Amino acid sequence: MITLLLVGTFIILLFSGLCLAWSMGATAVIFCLALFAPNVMVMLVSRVYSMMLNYTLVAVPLFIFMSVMLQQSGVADQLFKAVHVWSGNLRGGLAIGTIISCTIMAAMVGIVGAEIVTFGMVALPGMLERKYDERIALGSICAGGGIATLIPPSVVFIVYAMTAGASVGELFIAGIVPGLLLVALFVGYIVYTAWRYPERAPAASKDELNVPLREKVLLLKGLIAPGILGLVVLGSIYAGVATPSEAAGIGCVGALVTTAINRKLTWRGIKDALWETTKVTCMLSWLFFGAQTIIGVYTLAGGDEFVRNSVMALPFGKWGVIIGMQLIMIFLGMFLDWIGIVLLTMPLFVPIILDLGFDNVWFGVVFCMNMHVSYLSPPFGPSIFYLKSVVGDEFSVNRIYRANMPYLWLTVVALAIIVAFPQVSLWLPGMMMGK
Amino acid sequence: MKKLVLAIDAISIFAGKAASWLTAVVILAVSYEIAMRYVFNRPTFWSSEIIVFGCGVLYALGAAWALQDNRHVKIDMIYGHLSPRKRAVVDSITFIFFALYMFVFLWASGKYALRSIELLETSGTAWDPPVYPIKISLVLGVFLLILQGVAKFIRDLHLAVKGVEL
Repeated sequence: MITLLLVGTFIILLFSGLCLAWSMGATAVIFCLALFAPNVMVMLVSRVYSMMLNYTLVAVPLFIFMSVMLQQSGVADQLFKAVHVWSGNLRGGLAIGTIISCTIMAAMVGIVGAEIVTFGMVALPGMLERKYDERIALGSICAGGGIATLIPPSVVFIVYAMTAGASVGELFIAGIVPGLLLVALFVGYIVYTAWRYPERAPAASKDELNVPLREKVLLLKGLIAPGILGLVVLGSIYAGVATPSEAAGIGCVGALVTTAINRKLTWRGIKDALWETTKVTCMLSWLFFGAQTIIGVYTLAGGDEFVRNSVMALPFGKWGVIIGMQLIMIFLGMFLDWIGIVLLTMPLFVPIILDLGFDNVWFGVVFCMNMHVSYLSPPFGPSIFYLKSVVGDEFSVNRIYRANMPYLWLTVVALAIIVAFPQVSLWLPGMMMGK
Repeated sequence: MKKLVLAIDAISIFAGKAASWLTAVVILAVSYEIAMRYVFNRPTFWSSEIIVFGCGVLYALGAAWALQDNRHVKIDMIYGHLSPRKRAVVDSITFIFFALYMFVFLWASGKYALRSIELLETSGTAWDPPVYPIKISLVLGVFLLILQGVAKFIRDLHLAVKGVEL
């Protein structure tokens, strides 16, 4: 009963256009005052306060700063050029190049939006110029950008780790193999389409192919800076040299150095990156605060027991529970951003899956894959809006949706593989961390 | 009225930009700690707290600017299809809920901070810095959010009633 009222209030507020953060907080306050004494609010503030001082959360603003800085550095441009020239006369080379560049960028950038916007500007004009089919061109950018959720350092993993009490380092490693699986599926799809329907991905012209070897080698320079940066950030986490939050700080310095090497570092640019970081971070952190209050009230009202009992009542045993949770998340993904989903469902779901004997690292990877699906799918597909913000009026939202469809189905396949074979995600962390 | 609204905008932007420098402080603190730990083998005992406190204050003080810049995510499945004036009408109504949340939060965080000030509470670590300034910053952040929320409310109400933007 309380659940219905609470969810109802929340949804009405949300759909009437009140910001997600305030909708959560307002619902929490209403139910807190109706069910408990006002002093309970002070207890909720202490939950918010402990969130403010959460050490893992520090990684979020730092990785955002790093991404914004790298966007200015021109690294993506060089990276794409190098991959493009080296992919040579391979059919569909530009689209494959986009996916691969996205993956390499993803090892430095943890935010999907930053990736899609960058490659929408860097890679899309070239593909359209060469008359690539728009389904391949638009789809490869949205799908490739989404890989940033799985390839470390991913902000989604950090937030999940915080709510689920899992290790960030382990999650980061666990995301690698599933991320590469996605890359393989996407590249395979492009290769197949280019071979089956050559007109959809015209080959490079003779001029473009005649790049002297010397120049080709020089272009490889574009891979050096990203390579080092990715290695330092991830390596320091894996080697246990630095915490993820510290690694993010090192990454920021690395991004500044890379930008300086490319002679793009300006005082104005640093300030803009700082301003942007503040706005994005504060938007995110108040979502955390709102979630802390609403989950706090809901737990006090015994809601976690209710969710546990209803989830347990699902048919087909523990796999029924997992599949039921996936469906709930896909449904929520239709109108909520990933962060809202993590914050609202994970505090309730993770204890249940742990009780059922599942691994919370594996569940995190499954969740990320699930969010990759929701990023691409209508009606609320964030990656579509990111790309739309770059292409302007040239392509309608609907055309981008349609372009995403093949990639969406491939991601669903990958999701099914990861759910069915936990080893795919757990093998690498098990080996590297000797677990 | 317009002057008041613009003044509030300016306050939010100022607070947000000031708080932004905390990110730079945090990056410096991390770099310093890493350098001390691995190059000089003398890890600091204060850096992790500086990092956490810097970010905590950033979250509190930057939120009003994010509101001013309309950054907080909302769902526009229905809302997005309304005309700007209708949106302003709906926003003027939902403002009540924003205000409810914020005023209760202001009261509760104020009480929480007051308790900490009375005790002159410290973090209890080796460095042992006072923690009440952070709790005060949360109260201040909520206060700034209320101010910016009121400014937005005035704008919405003006558009809703008069049909033109303030």
